[in-house]
Amino acid sequence: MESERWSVKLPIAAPCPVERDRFVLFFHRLIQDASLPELTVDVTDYSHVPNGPGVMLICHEAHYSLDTSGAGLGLKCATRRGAQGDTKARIERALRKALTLASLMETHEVLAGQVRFDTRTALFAVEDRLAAPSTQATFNSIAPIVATVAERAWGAPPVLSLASTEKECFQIELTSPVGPSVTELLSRI
Amino acid sequence: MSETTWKEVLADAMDPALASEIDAFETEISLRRQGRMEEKLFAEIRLRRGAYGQRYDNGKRFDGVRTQELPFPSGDATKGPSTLWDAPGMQRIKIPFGGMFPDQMDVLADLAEEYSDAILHVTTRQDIQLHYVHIDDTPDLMRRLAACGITTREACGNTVRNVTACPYAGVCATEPFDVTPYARSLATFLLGHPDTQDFGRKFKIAFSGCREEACGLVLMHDIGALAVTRTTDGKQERGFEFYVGGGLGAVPHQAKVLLDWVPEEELLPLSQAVCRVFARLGEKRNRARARLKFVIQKLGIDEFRTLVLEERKILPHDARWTSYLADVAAAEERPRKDPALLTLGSKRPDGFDVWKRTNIRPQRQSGYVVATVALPLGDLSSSQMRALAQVARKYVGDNVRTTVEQNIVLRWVPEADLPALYTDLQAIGLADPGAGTIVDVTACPGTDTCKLGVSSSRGLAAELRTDLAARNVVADESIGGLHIKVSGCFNACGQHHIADLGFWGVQRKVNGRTVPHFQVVLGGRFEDNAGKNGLAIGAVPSRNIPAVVHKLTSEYAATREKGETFQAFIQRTGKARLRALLEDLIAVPDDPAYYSDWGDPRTYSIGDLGVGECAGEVVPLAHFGLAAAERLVFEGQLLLDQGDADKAADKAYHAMLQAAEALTREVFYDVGTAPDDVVREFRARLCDTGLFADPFAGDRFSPYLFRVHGTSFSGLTPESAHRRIEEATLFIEAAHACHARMTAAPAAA
Repeated sequence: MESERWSVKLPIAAPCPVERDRFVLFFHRLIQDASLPELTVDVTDYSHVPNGPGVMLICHEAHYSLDTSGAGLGLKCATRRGAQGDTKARIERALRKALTLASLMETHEVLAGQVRFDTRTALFAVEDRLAAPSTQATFNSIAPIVATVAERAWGAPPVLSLASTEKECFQIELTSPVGPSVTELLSRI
Repeated sequence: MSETTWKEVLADAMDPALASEIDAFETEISLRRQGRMEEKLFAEIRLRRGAYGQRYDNGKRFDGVRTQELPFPSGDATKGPSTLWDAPGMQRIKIPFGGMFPDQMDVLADLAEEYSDAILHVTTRQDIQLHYVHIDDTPDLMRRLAACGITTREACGNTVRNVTACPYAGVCATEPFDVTPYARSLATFLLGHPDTQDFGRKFKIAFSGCREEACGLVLMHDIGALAVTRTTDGKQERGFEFYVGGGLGAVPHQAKVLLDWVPEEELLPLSQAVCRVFARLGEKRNRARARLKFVIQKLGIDEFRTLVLEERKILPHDARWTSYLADVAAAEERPRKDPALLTLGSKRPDGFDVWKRTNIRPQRQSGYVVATVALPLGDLSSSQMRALAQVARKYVGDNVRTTVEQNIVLRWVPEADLPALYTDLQAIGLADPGAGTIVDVTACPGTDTCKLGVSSSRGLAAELRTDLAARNVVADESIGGLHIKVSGCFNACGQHHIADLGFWGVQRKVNGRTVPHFQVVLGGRFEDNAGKNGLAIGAVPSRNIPAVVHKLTSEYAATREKGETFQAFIQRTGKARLRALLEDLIAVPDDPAYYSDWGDPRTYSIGDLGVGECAGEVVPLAHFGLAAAERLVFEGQLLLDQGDADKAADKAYHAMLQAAEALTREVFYDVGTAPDDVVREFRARLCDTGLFADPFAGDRFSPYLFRVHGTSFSGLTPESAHRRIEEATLFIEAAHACHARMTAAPAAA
């Protein structure tokens, strides 16, 4: 059973001087201008919750959040519906969605070029404990597929590691010796 | 990846009855998706499973410039009137008396992460809500809850909602006894009870241990039970002061005493009798006057009491009324650790003393305390919930509860563990001080996700919380303990009526533009079980509400008389003077900020308002039974497709039985559910009387039921099972036609 619920988190380079209100405005503007190639629904703000999803853009196919959990602020794209194809296609789809929004964040006038992504790391996850329990066995079956996608996008073999405890959803941390631009990454997948 | 389903994985972990209900709901989803179930009926069915609509689910959203259509992939398919199939919804999860244990918290965290937005929201009635959930995900979500002993059944809709109780019940120093086992038993007893299925509106129940505390807020509930004791012949007896007819909403009513002494063994039957009278006499058409409070207003409490007591006398005996009482003593909680006092020499982390002052409450049991985890706006993340479950395992075990102030309490914390607990909570961002103080602002979802929200209650609450914390008002003895509650509209889910300072969202047209405002409600009383409802003194632009709070609290702090409460201050000062005090804040200045709401940069609009689902859909009781019969026939078809002819025929039989029961209940309420009873009463009351017979074709269909009743289904051929299914389908159609004739308006003479 292939999962609908893949997620990719791309770390935002620190320090990020953008205030919360600016991110809220940015997401609202994306909806107004239909800037994303998918159905956008709403903006919600959980920045009062420490280490949480922060400001979110809710779409039909995915939830985007300026996630502050774990290692720090990053753009997380969690796919929810509309996935097709095999595992590789689903990973690529989640990564493509995340990079598409990341690209807009780096270039959109509302954020005034103040957001940059640190692409030397990324976090891939399956938010689906039935399809992908957080185990070494899951890692052994999924990591080679993530590696294939990542090597093509990053242009170099990544280092992958199991990044979740047994109770958490399954997560793979990617570390890369190179840090291509968001545009480069997007052009390769 | 795994090829199994949650249904298979959890088959042995779920209560079979609950598992079956969820399977039925999944079938109903499928039937509605195929257009084989009417949308209004499906709406009420899903509401009764806690699956609620959410803002923009009509497929329209104002983006600040124009209203955009939301072209969901399922197109015009709906899950209720004006509610699109693909539109995200809210899932409410009942937590009776707020009690949950760490394994359940883990599951709740997982569900929020996988199906929602990784946030869990604690409501003002001790539920947990998840937002942005797709209807197709709800059966698995419910199965995973069922496997850890939680149901979403009757979390919404015209049903008995979550039964709430004081979060300190059992550990409180001033309660006469622990109300927890009584709340649990009443919640279990009324869940799915036939007498609670035909209400015109929702029905809320609360339990309190103490009269003077806020406790369970019994005075604002349809049924409120306040623990009391009396001594007879030297023996102490437990009972309840029994209130009825309270409620907030647009027109708040304080509950009235139905009986000042209800012995514990009468709690369940008396509640059942109240439910029966409400189902019979409650308004079904005018939704605005359909709560129990209006029945009592119309009849008067004395007449209502008479009716309830008469109903009580004729209730068929039910062993469950008292069977739980033998276990009440055994229901006492067990602490995870031995008691231990905090000593003066204990090392205290930074911030500990401030937190301890507001978030710790001593228990009746020496050496233990209750620690409140203050949740901003009632929210915590999945990872926080999971981490909190670990903290609970470490310090308190299963003794965790949600509160009506949208917080979580850890009970039975050994006092000596507090510094370590504080450090652990701090590490997961859950050590905010100020629980239960003026900064601990309560708010309903408002315009964030609610279809009825007029103003941003959560946006305002967040702003007030930040503003008041920055001004360190908690330290001010006179105002630190005040309560602020915010609702997005007049429906009062934020409980603004019972706050010292309450606000509810309204809008005003100013210079041709719509401006978000809040009505300012003063003088309510949270304590004394929601002891007094405040009154609105005027609407103020949303942006000026922090200034309103500042002005009123400053005036109170500066002018209050010795020992004067805030309510007494409001009373003494008078509405005219208070209104004058706020006069300069009522006008809308020439500032663009006033045309948007807190936390939302869009130009303010009320164009996104939709039809709320708080009231549920009024669907005749028989329709539920007939819909269930149709579902059973459908399941029979599936079984036949799978080659199981015997089970398919059995389903067809039960479908007819279900339809017969639904129809018979219309003329004889106490028909029961035993097959022999149903068939006997159906024959006597509908067939022998000619009611079931078609005026033209006669009664061709009742023999289908009578012929198979009492027979066993084994060794049937597919053809035979197929015929049974066809017969059941015809029988149900005849039942629908019969019901239509029975309920049709009489022809004019």
